[in-house]
Amino acid sequence: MQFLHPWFLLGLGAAALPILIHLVFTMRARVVDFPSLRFLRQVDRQVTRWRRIQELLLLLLRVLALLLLALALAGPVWKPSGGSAGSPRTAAVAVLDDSYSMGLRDAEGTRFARGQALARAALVSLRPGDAAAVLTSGREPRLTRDPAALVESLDTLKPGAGDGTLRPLVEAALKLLRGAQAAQRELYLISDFQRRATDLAGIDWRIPDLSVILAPIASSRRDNLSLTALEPLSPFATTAAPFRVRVAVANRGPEPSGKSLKVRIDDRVAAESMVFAGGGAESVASLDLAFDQPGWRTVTAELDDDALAADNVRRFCVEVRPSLRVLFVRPEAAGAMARSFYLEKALNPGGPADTGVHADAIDARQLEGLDLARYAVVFLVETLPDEAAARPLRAHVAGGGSLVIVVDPGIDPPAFNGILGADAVEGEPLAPVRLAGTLGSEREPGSYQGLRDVDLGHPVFARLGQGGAKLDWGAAVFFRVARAVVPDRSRAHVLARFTSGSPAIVEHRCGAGRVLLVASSLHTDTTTFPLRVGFVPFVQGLVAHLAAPAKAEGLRVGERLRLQIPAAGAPPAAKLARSPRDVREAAAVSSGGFAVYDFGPAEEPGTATIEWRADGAVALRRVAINVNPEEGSLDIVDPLPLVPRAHRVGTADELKALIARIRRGTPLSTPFLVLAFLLILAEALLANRFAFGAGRRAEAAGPAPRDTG
Amino acid sequence: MRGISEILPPDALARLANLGLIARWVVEGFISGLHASPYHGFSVEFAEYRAYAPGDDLRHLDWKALAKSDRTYVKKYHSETNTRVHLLVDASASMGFGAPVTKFRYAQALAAALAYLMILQQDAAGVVLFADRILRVLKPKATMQHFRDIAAALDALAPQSTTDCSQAFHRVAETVKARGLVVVLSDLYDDPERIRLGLRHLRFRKHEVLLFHILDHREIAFPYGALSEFRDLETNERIQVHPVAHRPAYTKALSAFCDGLRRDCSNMQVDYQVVDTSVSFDRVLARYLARRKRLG
Repeated sequence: MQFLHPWFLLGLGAAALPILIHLVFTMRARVVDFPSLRFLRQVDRQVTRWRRIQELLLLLLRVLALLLLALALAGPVWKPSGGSAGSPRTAAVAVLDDSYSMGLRDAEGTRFARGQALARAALVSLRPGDAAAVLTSGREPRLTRDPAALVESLDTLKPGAGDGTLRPLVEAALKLLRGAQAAQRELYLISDFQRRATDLAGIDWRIPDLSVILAPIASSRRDNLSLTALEPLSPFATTAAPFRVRVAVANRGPEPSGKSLKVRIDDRVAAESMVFAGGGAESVASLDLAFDQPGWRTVTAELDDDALAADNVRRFCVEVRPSLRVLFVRPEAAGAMARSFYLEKALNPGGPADTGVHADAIDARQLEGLDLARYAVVFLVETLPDEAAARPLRAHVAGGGSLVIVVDPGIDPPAFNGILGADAVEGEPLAPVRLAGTLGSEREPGSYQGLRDVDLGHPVFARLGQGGAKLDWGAAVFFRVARAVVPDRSRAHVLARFTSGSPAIVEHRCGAGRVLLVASSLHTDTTTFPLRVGFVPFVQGLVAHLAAPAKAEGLRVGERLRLQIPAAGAPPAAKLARSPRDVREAAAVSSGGFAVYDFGPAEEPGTATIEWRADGAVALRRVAINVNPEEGSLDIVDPLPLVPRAHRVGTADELKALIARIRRGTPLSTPFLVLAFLLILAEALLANRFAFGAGRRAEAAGPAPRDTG
Repeated sequence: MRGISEILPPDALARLANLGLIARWVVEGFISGLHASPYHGFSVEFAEYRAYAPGDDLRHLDWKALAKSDRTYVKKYHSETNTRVHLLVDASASMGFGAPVTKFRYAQALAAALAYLMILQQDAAGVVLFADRILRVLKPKATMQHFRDIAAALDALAPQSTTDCSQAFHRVAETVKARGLVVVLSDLYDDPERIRLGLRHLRFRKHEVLLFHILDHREIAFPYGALSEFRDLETNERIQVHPVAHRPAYTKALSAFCDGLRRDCSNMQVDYQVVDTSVSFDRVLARYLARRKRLG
């Protein structure tokens, strides 16, 4: 507490007056002759004690009343943070939430514009020499002694596309304030306080003289449709077949709402639809797109404009091929029910026009001299090439091609190990396992195998979860399988095992390419797997995975843009282009056999193209950057319970009044005067009650002795 | 005819200097107010003759005997004393309290009036003045001269010392063998138990006891206001008292004391009366007469 007129505190001495008067009256009591003190002495002990309490109570009330009067005249002001009144040194940090939800627009403008106005109101009253900072997700946390310049810079701020939470900004602000030399510290939290982003629990707010002011930016708009997902359903992007995408739209408001949805391929509108979603519900739509040109394409879904525009667009990038060519090397070059029959059917259930996959079939002898580079994936189905035929396969894999080996359980293990298990490609064998015999027999049902320990996080199985499909892997029965052994020190990854524990599906990198082995035939005379629900998505996922990069990984704003390629033949640097004028370069950093190029965090939604040179040619990868759809949520919290001893304001006027109170303190003269008046009133009432109450007690005590004659 | 007590208030009456005069006025006014002869109830009986001696009052000469026998005889009468009344007057310092007339002055006037009335009725009146000890004793006699002695004795004393009623009660009980009437005029600032024992002793001796508890009006009402230092008239002890706060408990304690005395007196068939010094003497005299009548 501070005093505007401290010399009035001398008046506190007046509080001694009632005590002095009491003492003087006590000492100068008049002498009354009385016949006997017997009865007075008899009652004196009880009465005097009570009377002394009464007198002390009245004396206390009088002293307090005088003290309060003197204090009221001295102009007391209360500063909640305890800083000295009128101190010239103030440190103020405004944390201005610039996540894209602050871009929500209503009749009064955007939330962010109102936040800017509040930040301006907080900073404009600072004086030169005061320290101030405005923290957003993109600004360096630094205090400046020029608050006026800081206020001017507020106009240049815009809401970002990020989805960050308040915690790192608040912690940075507290760190600044903790280190600031100031008598008064002020932290302004200006945000829409979305429930998901308001993670303030456990923060240490204990800073001397700190005032925390919460400024929740509310909005009258309660409607917002968010695009929460845009993802391919088709396994392969080719010009030969339609490409199906899935679009999910969430209604963040309480009322049902519908919007027009456009899906573009690059700049061309490829599909258009209306989507409706109930209040708080999500709506899903599937649309077929037709790619007319091969190459990297950007697929963009876009909703009509609404209160919050940032979450109305999502995109992904995909490499479109004219068609996907797959080669099946099998024991027989032709035949209606060849060993690769179910594989071929799974890749192309409705013919080439269905998925765009074009399959060729040969026998192993035809491998010699064949250019395998035009095949995205080569399947070696239940056949063992001789050494001469294996050579093109090794070259294909070493050059970055993909090979799938489907093992005939009856194959001779030494022959398999001798040709496919020999170290042939940069010290690695072509097959990820060595064979050691067979497991199970068609005649012994008890020896049948199922699948277990399936790595559902692997891209091969990623498509199996789409649409919420739940597959019972144990239902697929394998009558007889090859017993595979993963060599020691192998970097092979077991994707699934048979119920006996023997590896069933194993993948490893070999040179620049990848080889995946299935330790069983995939024909119905050996297994029921081709007849199970999961077989088609498994095979399509297998090809989609091995034919990658057909689709680039999507990124969220704020995540790091990185390229990771095999270290062999990797260039020293790669380029990232957001636009013709925004090109940056990153140097390669070696990590675990890979070259990693880090271009820093993605700051805005859109696409980025990464270029690098490989084998004398320019390689390209296009990356889509999207906002976090959850940031579009309208679910907000009251932040006041989350911050101890914080103040909350709603408007700039309220903020100014609060600042005035914080910096100059709350005047307490009037409350003190009122309290003094109440004390005086209480004193008068009590004194009256003590006096007349005695009379009433005398009456209650009964009549005085009277002449009984 | 209205009595002097009805014309003058007791405080004005008591302030008169001549106690004998006060008593006469009070009693005669009181008696005339009764509408009866003041000599009712007096008995004078012939006792014997004796030879006239010079100086004898000629009014008592038996003229008939002189005419018959030519001898001068003087009739001797036996003056019949109805009862002996002992007036016990408290002269302790506490009796000096009161304004404009003190309790002691009131008691003096009342005692003188009672004595006069008794003597008029051929009762023998005596006085015992006491404080913490017996100060003066006048044995009961039924002559006007004795009344004058009583008045003089009463007038001669000033309030002094502490109160010891019981000592006076025991002394009267021990020394007065004949059954009589004991009238006590005191503020009774003594130990209640001792007072009770003293009264019991008197009753044990077959005395009829009439107890007038003399209190000043301020003693009863305790009408003081501001914080004061109260000084005990008997002991000079002082205590600070806030009368407003003390009044209820004081009044209660005094009432309890008086009620206790009244109860004890009732049990012992002692006539007890609180007398406010602002009350007319007539009421006290009437009370006395009523009691006296019961004695026969």
